[in-house]
Amino acid sequence: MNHLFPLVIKEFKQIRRDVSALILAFVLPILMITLFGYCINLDSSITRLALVTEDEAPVAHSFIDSFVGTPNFHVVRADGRDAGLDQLSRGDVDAVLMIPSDFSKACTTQGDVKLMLATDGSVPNTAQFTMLYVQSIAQSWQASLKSLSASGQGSITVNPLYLYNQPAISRHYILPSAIAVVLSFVGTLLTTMVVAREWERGSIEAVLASSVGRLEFILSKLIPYFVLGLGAMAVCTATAVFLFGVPMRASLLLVFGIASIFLLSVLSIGLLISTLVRAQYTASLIAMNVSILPTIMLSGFIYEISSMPGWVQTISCLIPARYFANSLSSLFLAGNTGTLLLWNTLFLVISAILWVALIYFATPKRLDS
Amino acid sequence: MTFQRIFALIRKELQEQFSTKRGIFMVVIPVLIQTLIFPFVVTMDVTHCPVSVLNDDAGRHSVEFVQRVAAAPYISSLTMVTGEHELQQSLVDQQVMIGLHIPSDFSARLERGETATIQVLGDGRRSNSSQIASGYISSIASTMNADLATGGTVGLVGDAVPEKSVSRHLFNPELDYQWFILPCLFGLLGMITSMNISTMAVAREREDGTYEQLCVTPMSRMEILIGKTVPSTLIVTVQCLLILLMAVGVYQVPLRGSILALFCAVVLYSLSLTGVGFSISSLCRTQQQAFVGMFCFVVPGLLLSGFVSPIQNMPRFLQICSIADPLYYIFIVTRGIFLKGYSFTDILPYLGAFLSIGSISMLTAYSILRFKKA
Repeated sequence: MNHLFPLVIKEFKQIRRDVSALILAFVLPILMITLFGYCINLDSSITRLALVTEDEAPVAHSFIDSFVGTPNFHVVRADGRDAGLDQLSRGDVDAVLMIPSDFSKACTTQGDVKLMLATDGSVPNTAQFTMLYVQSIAQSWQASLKSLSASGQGSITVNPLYLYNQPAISRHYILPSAIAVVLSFVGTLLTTMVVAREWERGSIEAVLASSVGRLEFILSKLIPYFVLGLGAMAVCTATAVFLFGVPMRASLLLVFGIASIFLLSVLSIGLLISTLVRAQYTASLIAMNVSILPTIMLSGFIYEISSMPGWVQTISCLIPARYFANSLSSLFLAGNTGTLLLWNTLFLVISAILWVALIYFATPKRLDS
Repeated sequence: MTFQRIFALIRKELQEQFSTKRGIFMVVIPVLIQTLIFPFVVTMDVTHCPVSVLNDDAGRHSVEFVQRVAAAPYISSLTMVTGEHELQQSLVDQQVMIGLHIPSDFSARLERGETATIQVLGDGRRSNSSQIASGYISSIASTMNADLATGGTVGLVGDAVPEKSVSRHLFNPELDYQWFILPCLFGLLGMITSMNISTMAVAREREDGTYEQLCVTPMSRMEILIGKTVPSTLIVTVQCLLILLMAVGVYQVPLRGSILALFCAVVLYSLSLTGVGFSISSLCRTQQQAFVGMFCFVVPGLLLSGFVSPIQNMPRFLQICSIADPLYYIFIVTRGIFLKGYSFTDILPYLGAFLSIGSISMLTAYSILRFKKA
C-alpha cells in the first residue's frame, strides 16, 4: 500500500492545475442549491386567469372581486370567449373563467349557477391546481353568500398539520433532497473523466506497467475526489441552512457520516463509467444520460416514487440518491428517526459495496484485457 | 467557403460517431431509456396513499367516515392505530403518508349540529404529496357533509358534491401526464445530445492535438464551425424522429399541429444549443473543463425552463434569465404542436428566439476561436 500516498498526491496536483474540478466541487454546488431553492416553489403558485364576463350585475362583480383580491391570481379581462381561449392557447394565461349572462339571476333565485372554467391541460399539474383553486374560491364565495351555517346541520372540517414542517414550506423539504441530487451530480462528474483521461493520454500504460495494485489504483482515484465531495457537501449544507433557513435537526456528524457512504457510491458510479468506456467523450455522454436525468426523475425529489408503477420503483432502487434524499430530508427536518434512517443507511452501504466491487472487477490488470 | 470542405468535415464527424457499434448505441440507447422509463415516472398524482387512523370516537359517524376513507380510490391501505404515539410513529417511519385523528366527541358534535374537526397529520418531509393526500380527505369530508345536509345516510362513496361550475381541461382532457412528458422529451434529449457533441467537439480536438491540424487546413474557422454543427443537428433530428415514433405509435399522444413546424423547431433548437456548446467549448482547453462547462449550462437550463416548476412562481430576476434558455421555448413549442395544434406561424416567434440564441452564441464562439491561439 506504500504506492497509495504518492498516487493521491499526484491526483491532488492534477486537480490543482486544472481548476475545473475545484469549480465543480465548490462553486457549482452553491449555484445549484441557490437555483433549486429559488426555482422550485410548489406552494405560492400564481395563476394567470383570463376572465370573460357576460354579466355586469353587482353580484357578478362581487364574485370577480374575490379573485382580484387574492394574491394568487393575476386576473386579466378578455373580451369574449374566443379571445380568452386564444390567450389560453398561446400560453399567456393558465385558465379562462367564463361568467355567463344569467349568473346574477341564478345567484339570486338560488338556481343552478353555471360557471365555465377552461384550463391548459398541456401542463397537467398546473391545470389540476388551477381547477382546485378556482373551485375553492367559488365555493367560499358561495358560502359567504348563502351563509351555510344557518342551516343548523353539523359539518366536518379537516384541519391539516404537517409534522416537522408546520407551515409546509416546499423549499424546506425540497432543499435537503436537492442536496442529495446535487451531490450525486458532483460525485459522478468528478470521477467520470479521470480514468478515461488516463486511457486517452496513454498514461494508463505507465500505471499498468508499475507495481501499483488494482485496489491502490482505485483508492488513489477515489480518495482525492472523496475529499472534494465532502467539501461540496459542506458547501451545500451551509447554503441550505444559512441562505434558505432550512432547519438542521440532526448532528452534523451523522449527516456527514451518511454523506460519506453516499459519496462512495456516486464516485464509484462515475469511476465505473470511466473505467468501462475509456473515452472521455463517450463517458460524459453516458454520465449525462445515466446520472443527471434519472437522478432528477427517480430520486423521489419531485415525483412521488410510490405513485410510479412497480417496475419503475425497482429501477429507482439502483439510484443511491433515492435513499440519500430520503435520509437527508429526515435528518434536516426531523432529526434522527431511527428505523427509517437505519434502512436507508443499510441500502446506501449495500449500494457502495456493490459499485466499488464492480469497479474492482472492471479495472484491468493488463493492457490487452 | 466551399461546400466540399464542409462536406468532408461533416463526413469525418459522422464517421467518428457511427464507425463503432458503441457510437450507434450512444445515439439509440438514451432514446430508448428515456421513452421507456420517463413516461411512467412523471406524475404529480398521489395514487397510492397509505393512511393510519386513530379513532377515539365510537359513534356511527366516525365509523362511516373511516369506511368512506378506506373505500376512496387513491387510498391504498388503511391501518387502525390505538394511540397518539403509534400514530406519530407510523408517520415518522414513513409507513403512511398521512395520519387521521378523529376526536372522541366527533359523532356527538355532528348529532348536535355542530362542527366536528378531524386532525390530519401530514409528513412535512414530503409535504407536497401530503398536501394532495390531505386534499383527498377534505373532499371525502365535504362529500359526507353534503350527504348529511340532504339527510342521506350512507350515500354512495365517491359521490361528488353537485357540480356548481363546469371545468374542462382543454388540450388534454384527462390530464394524462404522458401527453405532457413525451413532447418534453424532445427538449430533454435534444439538449443532452447536442450539448454533449458540441461542447466536446473543439475541446476534444484540442486535447488530442488534432485541432492544430484542422487549423492548418485551408478551412476557415467558420467552415469548421459549420462542419461541426451539421452532424450534431443531424443526430439530434434522428433521435427526435425516434421519439416521435414512440410518442405517436406507442403512447398515442395526439399530434395536432404541423409536423413540418415540429421539424423546423427541432432543427433550430438543436442549432441554438450547438452554438451555446461551441462557446463553452471554445473557452476550454481540456474535455474535463468542457464537461464542467456543459454542466454549468445544463442544470440551470433545466431548472429555468419551467419543466420542473412553473416559471411564474420564480423570482423576477430568474424569469428574465429564462429568456435566454432554449429549453424554455422548446417545451412551449413541442407541447403546443402536439396538444394545442400550433401551426408554423404560431411558433415563428420561438423559432426567432432559437435563431437569435444560436447566432449570438455562434458569433461568440467564432470570435473566441478567431482571436485565441490554438
